[in-house]
Amino acid sequence: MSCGNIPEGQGTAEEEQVAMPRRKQVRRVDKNTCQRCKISKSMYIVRNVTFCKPCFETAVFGRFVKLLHPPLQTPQSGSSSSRNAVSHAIRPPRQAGDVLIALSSGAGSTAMLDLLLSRSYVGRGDGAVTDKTKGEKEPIWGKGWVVYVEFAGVLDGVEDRLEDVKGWVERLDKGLGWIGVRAEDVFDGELKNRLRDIAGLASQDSGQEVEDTIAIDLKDADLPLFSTPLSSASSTTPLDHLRKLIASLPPPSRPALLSNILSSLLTLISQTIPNISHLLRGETSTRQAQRLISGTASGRGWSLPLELSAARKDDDGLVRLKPMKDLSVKEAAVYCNLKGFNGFTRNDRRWDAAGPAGKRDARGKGGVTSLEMLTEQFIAGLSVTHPSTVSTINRTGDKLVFPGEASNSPTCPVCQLPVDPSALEWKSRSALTSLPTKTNPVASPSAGENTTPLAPLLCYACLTTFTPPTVNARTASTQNEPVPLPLWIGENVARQQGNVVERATMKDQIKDFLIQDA
Amino acid sequence: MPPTPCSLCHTARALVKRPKTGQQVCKDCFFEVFETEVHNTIVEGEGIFNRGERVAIGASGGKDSTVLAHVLSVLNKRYDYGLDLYLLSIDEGITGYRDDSLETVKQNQVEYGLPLKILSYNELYGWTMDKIVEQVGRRNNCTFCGVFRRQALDRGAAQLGVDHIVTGHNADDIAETVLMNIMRGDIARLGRCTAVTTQSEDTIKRSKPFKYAYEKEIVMYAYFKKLTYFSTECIYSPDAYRGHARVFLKDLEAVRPSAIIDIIHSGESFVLEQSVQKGMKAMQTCLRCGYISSNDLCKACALLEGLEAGLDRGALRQTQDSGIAAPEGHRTIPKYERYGAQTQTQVSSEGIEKAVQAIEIR
Repeated sequence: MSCGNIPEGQGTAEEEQVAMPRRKQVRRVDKNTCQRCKISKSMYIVRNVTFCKPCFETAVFGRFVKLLHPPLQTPQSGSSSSRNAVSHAIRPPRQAGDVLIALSSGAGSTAMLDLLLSRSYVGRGDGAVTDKTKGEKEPIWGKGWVVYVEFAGVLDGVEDRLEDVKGWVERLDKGLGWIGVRAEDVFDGELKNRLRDIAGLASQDSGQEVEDTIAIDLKDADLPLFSTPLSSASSTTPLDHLRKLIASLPPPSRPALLSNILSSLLTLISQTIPNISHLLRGETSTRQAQRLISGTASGRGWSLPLELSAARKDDDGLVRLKPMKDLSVKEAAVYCNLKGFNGFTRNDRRWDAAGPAGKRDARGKGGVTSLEMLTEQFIAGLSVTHPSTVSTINRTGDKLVFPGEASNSPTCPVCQLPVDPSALEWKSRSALTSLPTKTNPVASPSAGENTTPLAPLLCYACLTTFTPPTVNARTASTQNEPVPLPLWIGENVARQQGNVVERATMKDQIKDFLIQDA
Repeated sequence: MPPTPCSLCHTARALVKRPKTGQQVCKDCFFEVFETEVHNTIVEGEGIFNRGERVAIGASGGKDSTVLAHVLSVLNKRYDYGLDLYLLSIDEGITGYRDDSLETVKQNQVEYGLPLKILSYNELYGWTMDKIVEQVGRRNNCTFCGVFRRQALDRGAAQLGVDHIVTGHNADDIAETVLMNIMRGDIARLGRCTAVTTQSEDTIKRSKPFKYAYEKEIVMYAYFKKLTYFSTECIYSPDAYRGHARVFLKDLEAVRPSAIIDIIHSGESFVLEQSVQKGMKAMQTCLRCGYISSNDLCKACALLEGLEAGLDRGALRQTQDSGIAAPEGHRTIPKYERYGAQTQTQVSSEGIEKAVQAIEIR
């Protein structure tokens, strides 16, 4: 028997208005039962959905492979747009190279490593043949390397965990290669040889001495580089150099430098360890959202789409993947809890604690000195009242495209990402620091010396990182001591100037005059 | 301790520390550097203005528009832009707020010798913001005000016969908008919010010459030039979500003062996916009032229909697909006509107050 109501959308507006308003149907669910299997008792509520333990694990894995699989599929196996929907469901074929897994001991990378190992994505590197008849799965990568970068040397009050993490990885007993490096190794010319030793390769005499590296005057807005050997004592360690560089930068710029150090070390390791085809980082959606906002606030808009992409291929063929990009840090933390990794994971990287406190410290909200930390706190706070904040920010980020040509554009020697056109000119036009009619040219401390300015080579964001916050009449006239720059920056600058001469080439030219024992 | 010399001229004593660059500069150098930066924004690329253009300055009586009116008058003479400048004010009908600030605009009109046109919501829509808030409440009232103001400015400009509106949006406003559009996923606005000039086929050109000017420097300029302006937050509480972005931006600025300009630089670099751009609705004209719209009805007509129907916040959800005819008894917005349709004589005798008709601008 009909109630007399006109079905929705079938009557005129007036008729529908007269009819009794229909109450919206609300799906009633039992929050005590898993909404996926509808059988087990629910353990977690994630994005308003209740899960039991096995269902949660399956759901996490589903979202993990959604980003991991498509870039690993061959063209035949179907990553075309028409097959995109299913390409993530199909296990990709075996990759030609090995995988380098960046492990920070945070929830994202720890969960990522476990997801890879528990589903046999990474082999032991022993070439063992899989017996599919016994249900064994063929690994996607023949061998996996785990890399951990320790920043404790430059972060006050942060515990050194290099040995702990090494022990944890070894206890997994999955045949993973272990590479533990420290942030200060960016000043160590012997790092490449150490890495070659780890990979079982013979050492090369390519080790640049720290004394050969370039130095920079960070008080001068042109950022002049000095190629002259440093006057520092031979007892100065790479850690001393890094500490000096960090202390010379304003506190808000320090996390950006540490981030560049991490990227450069990962790049160097992937280039030095033979046969690495993929680099996996465990950045969660929460971290990605923070990266988008703080990157925007640092002026990194030009290259942000490249930084944020879930899969990016370098010119040398290395594919960088971020398969955790769809999972929040909370979900990764729940996963780690489920797997019993709570004792191991540390989510607080505390890059804010690098270097001595600056004069401006008191101005930041609650003593926060970096844009990154401020963004982290802001997003965490906003997510309480607006739970969709992280996903909305990431959706915005996903719609951005890189405006230049990634392969042909010059790269910034610091962040190694494409340089935005005329960064220096844009800065000088929108924020004048001199007036042609009034400002007398003040002799730069480096004037008259044979120096190369770094500023024109940098992208906008790195220019902001290295530029002194204030250029005043007084500071311009004082003599400043140059600080050493990490080796990768010097190499990139030399490469861009086209005058790089490899040590091996030099040695080849003078080999007849070298005495072996010297 | 001897006085610090100016970082720019190295002779005079530094009096201010520029919030944007941290440089310590003297008063004269500050004026020059501030005005030169605005001039650079105006002449960048093909330039904002065309010679002989009639330009309306959106004047609220606040610091931004007051300083904008002053600086544009100065630069127009100094660099001979050849512009006819007007002041255009919108009276939203907020007792104790807009009526007071309009007194400041009238004072500015006399000081700078610029003709003034005031257009009220009451005149245009038959509603004041006081009445709107009374009906819909404080929450979301900014949506009504924003939509109505945008259209009122275009209509006021049409009545003045000008082809260009300049507004006092400063660098802080733009950076705040970039952040807010990222956080709420408003891709369409993110793509255009950093443009110094915006114009679609059927709207009046709008520009923001203060795009790179810090809010603090605008206040500093007004202070040292002894400009009078009205300074009070709107009594109908600010947009809550924008409030989050504003507080966050201030925190960022405290940590790194260049953050504001850096956000604008990022915003200018953002390029959206082709598919996103294609998905945006094509523009048409409102069937009811003739104003530019992406639906059959413009947002102002839809909101007005909701208000006329006696809806409270439900007026915000009023559909934009209604027919051309308004429901019986409802007030409607007068037909929008671009300035081209009006003659110069109509403009001079209609909109501009008689008191200022005789003022020679040059």
